[in-house]
Amino acid sequence: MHERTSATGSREPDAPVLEVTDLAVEFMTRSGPIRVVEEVAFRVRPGEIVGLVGESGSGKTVTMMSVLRLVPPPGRITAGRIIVDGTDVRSLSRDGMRGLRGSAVALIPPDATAALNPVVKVGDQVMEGVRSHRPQVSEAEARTLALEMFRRVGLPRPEQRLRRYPHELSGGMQQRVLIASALQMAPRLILADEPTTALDVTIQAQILRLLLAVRDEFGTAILFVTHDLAAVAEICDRVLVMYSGRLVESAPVADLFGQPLHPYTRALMASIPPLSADPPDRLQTVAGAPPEPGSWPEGCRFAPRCDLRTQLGGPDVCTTSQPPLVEVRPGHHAACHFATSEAGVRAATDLAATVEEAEAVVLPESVQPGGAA
Amino acid sequence: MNVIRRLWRIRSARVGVVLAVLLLTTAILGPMLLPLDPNAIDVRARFAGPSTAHWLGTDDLGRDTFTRLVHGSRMSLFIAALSALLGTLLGVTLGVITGFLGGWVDVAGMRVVDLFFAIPTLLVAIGIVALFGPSATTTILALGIAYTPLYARLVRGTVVSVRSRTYVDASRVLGARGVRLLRTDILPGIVPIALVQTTALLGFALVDEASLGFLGLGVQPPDASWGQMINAGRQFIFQAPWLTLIPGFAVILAVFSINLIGDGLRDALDPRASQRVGDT
Amino acid sequence: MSGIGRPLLELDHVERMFGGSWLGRLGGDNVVRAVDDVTLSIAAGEAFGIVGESGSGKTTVGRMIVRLLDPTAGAIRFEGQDITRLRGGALLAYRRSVQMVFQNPYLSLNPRRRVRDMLLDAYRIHHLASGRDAEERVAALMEMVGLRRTMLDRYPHEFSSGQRQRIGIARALSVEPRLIVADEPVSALDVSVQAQVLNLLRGLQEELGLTVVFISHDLRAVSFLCSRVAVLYLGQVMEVAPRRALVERAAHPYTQALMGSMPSLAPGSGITREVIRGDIADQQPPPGGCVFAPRCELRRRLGDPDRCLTERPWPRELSEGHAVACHFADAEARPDTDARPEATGAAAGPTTPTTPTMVGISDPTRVPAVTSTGATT
Repeated sequence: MHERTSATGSREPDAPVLEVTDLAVEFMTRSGPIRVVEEVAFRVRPGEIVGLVGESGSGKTVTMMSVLRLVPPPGRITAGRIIVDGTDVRSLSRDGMRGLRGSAVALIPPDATAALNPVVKVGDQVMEGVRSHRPQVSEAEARTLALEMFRRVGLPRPEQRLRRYPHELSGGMQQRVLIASALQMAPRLILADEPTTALDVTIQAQILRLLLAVRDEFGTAILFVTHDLAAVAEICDRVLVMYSGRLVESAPVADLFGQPLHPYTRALMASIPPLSADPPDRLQTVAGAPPEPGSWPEGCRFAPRCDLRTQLGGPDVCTTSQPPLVEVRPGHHAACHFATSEAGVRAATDLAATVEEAEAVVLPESVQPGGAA
Repeated sequence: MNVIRRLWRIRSARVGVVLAVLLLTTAILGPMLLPLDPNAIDVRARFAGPSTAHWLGTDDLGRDTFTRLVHGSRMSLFIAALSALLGTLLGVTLGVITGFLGGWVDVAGMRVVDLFFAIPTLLVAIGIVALFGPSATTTILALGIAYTPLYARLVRGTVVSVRSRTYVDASRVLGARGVRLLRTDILPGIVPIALVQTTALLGFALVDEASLGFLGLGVQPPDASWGQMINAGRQFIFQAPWLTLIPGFAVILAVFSINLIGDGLRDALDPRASQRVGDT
Repeated sequence: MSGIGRPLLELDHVERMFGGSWLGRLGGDNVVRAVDDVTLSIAAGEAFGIVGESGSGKTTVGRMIVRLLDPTAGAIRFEGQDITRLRGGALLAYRRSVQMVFQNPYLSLNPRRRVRDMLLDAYRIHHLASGRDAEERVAALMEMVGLRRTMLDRYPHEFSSGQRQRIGIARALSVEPRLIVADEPVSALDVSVQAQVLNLLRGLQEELGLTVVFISHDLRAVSFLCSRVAVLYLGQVMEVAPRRALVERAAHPYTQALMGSMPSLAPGSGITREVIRGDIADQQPPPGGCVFAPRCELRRRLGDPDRCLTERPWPRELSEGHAVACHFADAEARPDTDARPEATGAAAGPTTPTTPTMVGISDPTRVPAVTSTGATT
């Protein structure tokens, strides 16, 4: 596990900690393989928080699980390269993979309660985490490390918390325990799978802040998988948007929200109700529901629901050829034949303006960042 | 209908169904077709091996084993079916009443059930047989009653869990209650588990009938049942082991077929599994 | 909206305790007060929001309104009549007036029943219609919620989650109720589908003149749908406010914390502010005091006044229709006598959080280094 640095010679300081190229995942069913993810490519640089956004069935979780080679059984990675911290994940042995999971990459699951063993004290679980990967660490050392980590993730009274069983901690605390457990291995990359979805709003904010702090203090890169665009806007540097198993847009966070160039991204943004004293009469919506994996429509998978296409009079190209993900602005990629069409850009600018106005909520004086000082 | 079609698509269940149909046909039609009297004694042909006259040989009194086996199957299956049916009726009724009404009815009902639960099924059955004397009717009664506590507990648990489902709340809010609620939401919820359980009881009953027979507490001679045959053959186990083994094998075959059907039913009745099953 | 302005639904000092049969209480079991002295009044035709996190009692309130639960104290009045003791025919009549839409559309529809049968239930139970008439009405219901009548013979698993929730709404509408309690009706749905269902609810509320009690943890959805909102915390009402007042001048520190915790779509606005500390389960609230006191930023800025621990704040009106249950909600605007002078200094910012956060972490690579050197000994 220590040799991960020597796996390849190419370890410049700014080399990506995660590089995924042309990933495809198929689920084997009796009626033939179903492609649930295809042509997915992206990078995560050290210290970067990258949001991977999509609705259910978009393939976002499968993509993330591929990085750890943990795609659930009928699923199989059928193409692509996954390089984690210089190591080619697909060519690793079982043991090598296990080593990687415990050291370079850590996973934070969506449901902390399910991830913790209910009959073992959380301290023992965290310590076991280290010792299973580094047998040479003594129990006392593991304990010191666990304590340190509990303190750093903001668990009050860490000595007492170590001796608690999972059910004695609230959901937010359990999530902190898992983050502490991940951090003690000093991973270069954290894969966070909907880490806040199961939590209350106020606790969600605390955990999001904690993820930001983890990045700032440890320089850990984070791949943040979520359906929550607002959370992405808050903590991510870059955003990847997935729809029906493919990446449809990828951009730095300011560009994505400043000029969402894919109609699906716009649809997602527009469907979030604004917190406003004068809300609109109707929210903008996309008709229908995302297609079932495997029964993808021909051409662009979003075409049947796309309002830009309707606006343009339903051009044929959308239903005949699949738009590739291309760089339409520096650093800004979109998979839409008409991403930079006049109508498309206008829609993007208009939406961004609306959202900006709606989100500029005048919070009461007392809520204005005391913490910003 | 749907369920039966889904069941048929499961290969193992198909084997079970075919076996069961064969057994049932044998039990119903067999006795009419066979020329020999199952109780006809022929002292000259005692312990005869298989021959064209006696396909599976004869027993200590020279009675034809095959004929007795076929006649016995009718009795054994009849007892198994009726006692499973009785157990189901009593168990479902008791379970639904206690689970649906709750409160003191539930507490009282379940205490009684617990009491029975503490005693092994077969002991309960033996007790009942001891009270009323051995016969086919008592065997049915005894097994049916003996299965009731287990069944009632299972049904009650299911009813309690179904009762707390959100869709039951939704029906309540609409104004459904009592019998209507039972009919639309609760009973359909326990049908799958009841079907599986009743099938399992059929299997238990076959074995338990044999056990009671083996203990001499089941069907009384000269009538044949599989259990009674096993009992009768017991004394000659070293001289003529087939007298015990053949009815034993019949029991195993029947139980096997029932279990295959039971497992298949469990899968076929799971609506979520419909596609998975369809693929098989 | 209501002609006379008389409330359609009133909750009058409603309380609900859980855990504790008389036997359990003898044994010293914990009794949880899920809803603690809640008083609310909802006008006819209004969309009223109830916001809260887990443990706030919002779902319990909803279930008591539709009589799936009974309060342990207090009264719930519908058109002036206490419904908490209704039985038999009177309860059945009430069920025609009040319906519920449930959170999880996968659990709220019986998987073994066709949509048609579920929708026909109401007509059978209440003898509203039968035969062709009922069939026609059921078909009309489907169209009202944006589904096709040809879907009536399908089973729930043949629908997407959004469609299922539409069926749930259609079922609630089947008795032509006056009030609908919607308990987190969109939180189990995908974002784009949420918007569809919110639009549907809003459209129905306007077209049918429905009164809607919308229960949610999501301030965004609530502010979209509701003209008035109550904020609940640990079973108590913290604040009741019209939408504008809630969005523009939320007065209760908890409401402010909720709003400050909401991620915003504007990148860089940052939820870096620390607006609330700890978890609900973190500290027991003081008996007799304010339930929010242990987590309250305002209280800390004011120098932890004792009054928060000793006296329960009751809702008081700040302005027309805007009530807040906090002793010091307006303390910072007009410093109160109860507030200590240091308050101004403390208001500069929460610089000394009691919970240790990630401060002063040096080089992260050191962490494993420490252990590995230790291991060589």
